[in-house]
Amino acid sequence: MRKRLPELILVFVLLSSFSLKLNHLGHYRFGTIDECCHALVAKNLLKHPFKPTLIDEPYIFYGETEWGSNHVWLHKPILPLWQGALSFFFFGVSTFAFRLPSALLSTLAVLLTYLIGVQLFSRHAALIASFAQAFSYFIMNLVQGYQFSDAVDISLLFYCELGMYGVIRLVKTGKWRFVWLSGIGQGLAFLSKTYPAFIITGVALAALLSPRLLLAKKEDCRLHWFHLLAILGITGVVAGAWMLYTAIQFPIEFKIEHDYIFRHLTENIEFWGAPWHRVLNYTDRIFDCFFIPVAVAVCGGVTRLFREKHMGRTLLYAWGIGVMVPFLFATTKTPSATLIKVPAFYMIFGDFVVRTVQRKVKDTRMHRWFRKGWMVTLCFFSLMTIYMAYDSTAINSDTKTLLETATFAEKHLPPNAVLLVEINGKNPAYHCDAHYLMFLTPFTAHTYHSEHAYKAMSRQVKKNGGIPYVVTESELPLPILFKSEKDKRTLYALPDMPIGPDENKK
Amino acid sequence: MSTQENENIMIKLQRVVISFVLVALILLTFLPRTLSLPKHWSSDEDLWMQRTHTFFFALKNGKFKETLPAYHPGMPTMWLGSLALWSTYLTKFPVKSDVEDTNFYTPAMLALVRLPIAVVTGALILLIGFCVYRLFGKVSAMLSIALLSVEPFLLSESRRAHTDALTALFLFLSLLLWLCALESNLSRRRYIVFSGISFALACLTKSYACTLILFIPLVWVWYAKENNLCVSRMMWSVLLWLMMILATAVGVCPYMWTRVEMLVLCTFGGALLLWSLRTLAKTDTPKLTHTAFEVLVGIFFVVVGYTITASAPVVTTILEKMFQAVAESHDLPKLFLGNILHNPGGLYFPTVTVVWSGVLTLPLIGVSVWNAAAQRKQKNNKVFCLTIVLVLFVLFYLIGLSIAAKKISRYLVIFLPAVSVLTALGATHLAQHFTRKWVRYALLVSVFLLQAVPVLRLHPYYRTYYHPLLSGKWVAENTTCITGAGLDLAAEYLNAKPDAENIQVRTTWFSKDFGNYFVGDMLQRHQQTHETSHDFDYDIEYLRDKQVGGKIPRDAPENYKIHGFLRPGRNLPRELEHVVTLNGIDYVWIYRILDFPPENASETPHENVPP
Repeated sequence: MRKRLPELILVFVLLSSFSLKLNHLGHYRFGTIDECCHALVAKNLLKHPFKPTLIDEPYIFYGETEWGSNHVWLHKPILPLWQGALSFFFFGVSTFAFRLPSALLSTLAVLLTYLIGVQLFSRHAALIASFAQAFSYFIMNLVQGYQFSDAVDISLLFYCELGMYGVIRLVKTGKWRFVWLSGIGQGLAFLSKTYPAFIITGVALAALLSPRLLLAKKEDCRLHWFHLLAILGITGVVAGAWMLYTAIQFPIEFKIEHDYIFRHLTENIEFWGAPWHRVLNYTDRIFDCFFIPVAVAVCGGVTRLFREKHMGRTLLYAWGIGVMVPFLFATTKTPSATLIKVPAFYMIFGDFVVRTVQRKVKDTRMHRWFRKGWMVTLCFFSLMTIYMAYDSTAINSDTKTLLETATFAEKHLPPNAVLLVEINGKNPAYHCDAHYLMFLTPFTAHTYHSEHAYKAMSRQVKKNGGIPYVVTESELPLPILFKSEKDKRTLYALPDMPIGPDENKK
Repeated sequence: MSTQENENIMIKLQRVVISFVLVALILLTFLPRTLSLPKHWSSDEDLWMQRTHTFFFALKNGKFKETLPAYHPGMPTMWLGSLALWSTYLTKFPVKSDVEDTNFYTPAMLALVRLPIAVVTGALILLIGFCVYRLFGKVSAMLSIALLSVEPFLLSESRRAHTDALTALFLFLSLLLWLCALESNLSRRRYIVFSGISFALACLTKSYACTLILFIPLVWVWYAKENNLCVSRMMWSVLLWLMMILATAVGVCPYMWTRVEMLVLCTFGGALLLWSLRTLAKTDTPKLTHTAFEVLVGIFFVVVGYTITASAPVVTTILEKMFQAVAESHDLPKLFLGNILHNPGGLYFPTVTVVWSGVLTLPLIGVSVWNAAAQRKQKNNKVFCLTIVLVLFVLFYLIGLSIAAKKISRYLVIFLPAVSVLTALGATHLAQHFTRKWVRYALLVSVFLLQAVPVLRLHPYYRTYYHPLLSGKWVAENTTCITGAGLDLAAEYLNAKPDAENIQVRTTWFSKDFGNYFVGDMLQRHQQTHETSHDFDYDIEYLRDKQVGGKIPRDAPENYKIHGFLRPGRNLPRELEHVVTLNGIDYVWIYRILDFPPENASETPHENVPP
């Protein structure tokens, strides 16, 4: 029993982490416009799985460069969206169904962290790392949709860890089945968030080079150059098929979005430009309570790299630093961009904790006191992490959900109704209203910003065969169809427009 | 009398003499700095008064985020100025919170703000003297204090509400304390502690002091190699030094108190500080387990990371300004060897150093270097090591300043303390060649008098000093003059006129500080219009106007436009009435405006100047 204790604790950790993630998982309000877009595209994928669309039936002119309002949507890779669509297929279209794959994958990622940790260090170190990851506040926020880019980052994290597990097993055993695992993992990670997935190849390359750089012993590495080529080949097959398909089918959007990825390196995209040291702030946010202990462990652990020549440690540093370095130099920096370094640094931290809490024969009284203090601090941080994780899931954001308006519209408006939704520029919470209405209803919705822009838009909608309706929080000199106190929105019909199917019957 | 009694009398006499010399040195250090402080209002001082005012009221109101009004950042200047402003709260007329209040910008208030800076710079000179005593002995220390006290530009900068003198002295003190620590084989922690504090204060006064961080590691490595110092002990000392810098920065910079990172910085920085203090308290070689070393490195990087994030908004601006200073020249053109230039080139600072130096400064530095070189191969080559470090320090900043595009003559104050100490070392060495004691002392006193008299006779306009072997005409025609000198005397001249309150005076941008002393009305030329220009009584012009006003710099770009405040105003019929001359150079010209042009109108300045 005592021998199996770490595994038993792991099962408990996994179950509690997953249960916690289920808490209010289906809260109605999308956390960010990104999550709303992801869910909407996933919903549209149910109708046509190989054509990702945001506005499925556009009634007004749209620009291919505008990822928030275009038709074919290649702004994010397909895999997280397919996962969402699959979940919709089984559980119906809802916010819960969209987030469920994230809850599952993030919990399985914890399991992978444990498995990698066991391979590299010890079961105890692996358990500490997986515990920290299981209750990570940042990951909880991603799962719950409060932090962008929600499902996309979780998917990347899981498949990266899968590929990384393959690489680590490959380094240890040299078996071909792990080449397949790494290649497939990397391919799926690429289909989750494109190029960051190549950290798997980077780590494999580091494993190859580390004995030459005196960072590991040669006998610890059974990986060869042809393994690396094979990993890349398998990745090419897994990810290349979809890339090729989209490049042929939607060449304009493909080119725009592909260029957009690389523009992050040199341009300030969507005001996310930040100086190099912003990486420290974001890392602080990602590790939250454990940031300082993790930072001490990671920075201090560098001193062991050359001394111990430990392959596992070298690979973990290659993993973590390999993720961070491009981010340091990129002009655009988003908070979750370096999420995939989390397991690597947590494992280094786990090993650090195991070494520092162990009693030693030469310990003086002061050392013993320090050790006790350190353990108390760790317990405190652990409790804080659990509490914060719970806090994240307890938000249950269900205000201003537009549910009433959507229900009314779905019941009363004709099938070619087009909702023109006014966006309150001052309140970011309203930015995804149009997308949310499209998610909740079968209708197309377009946004407008200036007060009277709906007039010009409605003419364009009519010209394209749609029937325009206005959804706004402003008061307009138009006939009111429905006013929702809960949503704080009014649905207006436009003059000389049929009010709805029931009215037509009259 | 017995031999014992004779010895006792001699010891007592020696003590009396030493006490007398010490008192004399203290008076010499403080009196030239603290007397006649309201005189000679120079450029930027109103700016630093304004910043001090903002800082003081931000502190008073607990708005710590507003305590950083300048990128320099000038913290000690503002702290000391605030101390002066706070002292007004003990009087009937405390300073008002309105920074635009004209009653604030008076000579009396300027003197009040200048006083603590003058006192602290004097105290720093004495501390530097103490370090020189530890390193070179009492004669060198006394002469160093004497020469530092009368170093003309250090002296004049010590009397200004500005940053340069404080920066130079804090920085040099930090270096000397490090040298003291290295000479004591790192056995005395207090030197390192105070060096850290001093360096932090230097950087907080003016950011370019932080460039010492590029120089000091060379000293560490060289000393560790030359004196076989324990590397581990050296690392701990460096850690202690860095943590003292951090602690001082956090303590002195109120902006840092508002940062969320403060708690972590205090906890971990404090832990490292205590750890290094405790380790260095032991006399044996410090040893660490692998895990303890790992934790130490980890905590160190956490502290570094948090320091970066906490100070990033400020440090980024400071670094940008530093790079700007390296890449872009100053807005105001300089007169250098007869040419008007924005960037006067690499010879500018060496030339200005020579122009500003004392009669014996350069020869005596040569003697000290020669003496150091002679001791190079000796077993105990302490003097060699120390002198070379000082010479390298001077060269490091001289070359650094020469490389940067922005060149303002007062910047070289940063290495002038080292120049003074090297001069003192040269003189001491020269004196050692004489066997008779009285000859030695006579030589040292002569050196001091030759250096000091040409400076002290200029009180309080020390900045008008130039090398006594040069002529005033040459200096005025070849080097950019200093700002503000003599304007108070010009104002005194006009204030003595009957009905002075009703006199209207037109000034140039360079002579604008005239207004701080003048009781009548004043308008700057570039502000004048046709409506405001007809009823002037006097026109004031400053030497700098004659030097660079209205002229196109030789290195100006093609589409260059002369700054508004450097353009000449509308020519008015005028007649020269009075000239203020200081140290043989005409600084201020007072013209009486005539109702009609004089018959033999010879002076129509800037006739051929582009509009």
